[in-house]
Amino acid sequence: MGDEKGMRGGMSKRLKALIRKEFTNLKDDFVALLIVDAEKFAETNIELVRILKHENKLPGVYITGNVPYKNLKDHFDSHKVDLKDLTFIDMVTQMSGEEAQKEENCVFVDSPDSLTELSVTLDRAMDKIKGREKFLILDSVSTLLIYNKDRAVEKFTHFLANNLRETPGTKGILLAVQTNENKNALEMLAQFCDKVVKLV
Amino acid sequence: MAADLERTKTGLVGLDKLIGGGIPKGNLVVMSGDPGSGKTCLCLQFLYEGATKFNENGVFISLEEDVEELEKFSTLFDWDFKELIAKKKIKIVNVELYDFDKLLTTIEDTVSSINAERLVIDPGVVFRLYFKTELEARKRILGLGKMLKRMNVTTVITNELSMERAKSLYGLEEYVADGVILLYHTKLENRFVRSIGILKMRGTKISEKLHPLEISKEGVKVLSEQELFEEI
Ligand SMILES: Nc1ncnc2c1ncn2[C@@H]1O[C@H](COP(=O)(O)OP(=O)(O)OP(=O)(O)O)[C@@H](O)[C@H]1O
Ligand SMILES: [Mg+2]
Repeated sequence: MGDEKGMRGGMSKRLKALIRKEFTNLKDDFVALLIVDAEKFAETNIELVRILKHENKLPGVYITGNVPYKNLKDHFDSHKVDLKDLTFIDMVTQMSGEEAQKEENCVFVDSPDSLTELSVTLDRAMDKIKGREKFLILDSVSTLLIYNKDRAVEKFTHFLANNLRETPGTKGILLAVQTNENKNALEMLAQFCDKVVKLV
Repeated sequence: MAADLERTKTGLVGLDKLIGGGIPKGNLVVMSGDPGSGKTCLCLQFLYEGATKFNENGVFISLEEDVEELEKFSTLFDWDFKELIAKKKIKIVNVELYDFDKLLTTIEDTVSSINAERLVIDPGVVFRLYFKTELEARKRILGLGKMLKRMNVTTVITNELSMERAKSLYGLEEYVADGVILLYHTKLENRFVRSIGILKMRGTKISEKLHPLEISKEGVKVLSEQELFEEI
C-alpha cells in the first residue's frame, strides 16, 4: 500500500504481520490492550480496521479521542478503508470549540474527560448494531489517562471490559501509547483485559 | 427477607432497579439533592406513574410553589396532571407556612380523602421556618415522621444538599426515614453532571454506586446499568 517504502515499509510489514497474528483469528471474544509506539499508531488503526471490517466483515464502533472525526475519516479514506457499518464516537471536536457538524455515522461527546457520557453513548451505539458479532476500538486509553484521573479511567475500563464480556460476540481493542507517565496506569488496566499485545 | 416486602414501584424503571424493585410500602424516604437536581420533577413523576400505571392515588403537599406553578412545571414534561386531578387520582395542595398543626391535619385529611397510597412533601427543607427553637423543630418533625408511618402511605420528603452536605431535617433522616436517596447536579471543570445514589433503604440490597441520570420531556431517567466515573 501507499506507505510501503524504504525503512518504514519494512517496519510496516513487520507490524502488519504482528497485528495479523494477534487479531486475525477472531473465533473467540476478547478484550485486548494493544500498546503501540506513537510512530506506528496511524498504521495500526488502519490495519486493525481492515482486519476487523474487510476480512471478518464485522460492524463496529470506533472511539476517537486523539483526532477529530473529520481528519480520521480522511485518514481512513486515503487508505481505502470502507467505513460502512462503522460508528464513530468523537471526543475531540467539541472540545476544540469547533462546531460539530451533524454526521450520519458519528456521535459527538463533549470531551475526553466526559467518561460517563462516553459510556452511555457507547452503550447506545453498540446496542444499535444489528447482529451478534461486533467490535469496539477505543483510541485510546492513553488519551483518557491524560484528561482524567487514573482512578476514573480504571473504573471506566473495568466497567467497559465487564460489559464487553457480558455481550457475547464482541471483540474489544483498547489502544494505548505507552509513556513514562502512564506506564503504571497501563499495567493496572491490563488486569482487566484478556490479553495484552505490545507492538513496541 | 427483601423479597417478602410489598413495594411501591416508583415507576422509574432505573430507580426501581437500584432499590430492589421499589420503596417498601409505607416507608418514608428522604430525597436530598442539589438545587435543580430534579427533586420536584422526580416527585411529580412518582405520583404520575403511581396514578397511571399502578392505579395508586397520590398527594403532593407543596410547601413552596403554588398549585398553578407546579401544574405549569409539569407541562414541561409529557404528563397530564389536570386530568388526574379532575379524576381525584391526584391532589396537589399548597400549604401556607405558619401552623405546623394545620400542616399535619391537611396531610392526614388530604391523604384519606382520596385513599392515597403515595405522598410527597416538597421541599421539606422549609420545615425549620415553622419553629422558633431547634428543640421544638426536632420534636415536631420526628412526630410528623411517626404520623406518616402510622398512616402507612409511601412518602417522599425532599431536602436540600448544599456544599456536599445535606441540610439537616432535624433528625428525620437519621431516626425516622427508612431510606435516603441523593440527587447530585455537580459542576465539574467545564460542565455539569447529574447523578443519583442510594444512601440507605430499609430491608433492601442497594447499589453502592453513583449512577447517571438524565432529564428530558419524559421526566427523570435513571441509568441503572451505567456508573458515574467522574469524581464529584
Ligand atoms: N423538558 C426538559 N428537558 C430537560 N431538562 C428539563 C426539562 N424540564 C426541566 N428540566 C430541567 O430539569 C431540572 C428540574 O429540576 P427540579 O425543579 O425538579 O429540581 P429541584 O431539585 O426540585 O430544584 P430546586 O432545588 O430548585 O427545588 C432543571 O434543572 C431543569 O433545567
Ligand atoms: Mg424543587
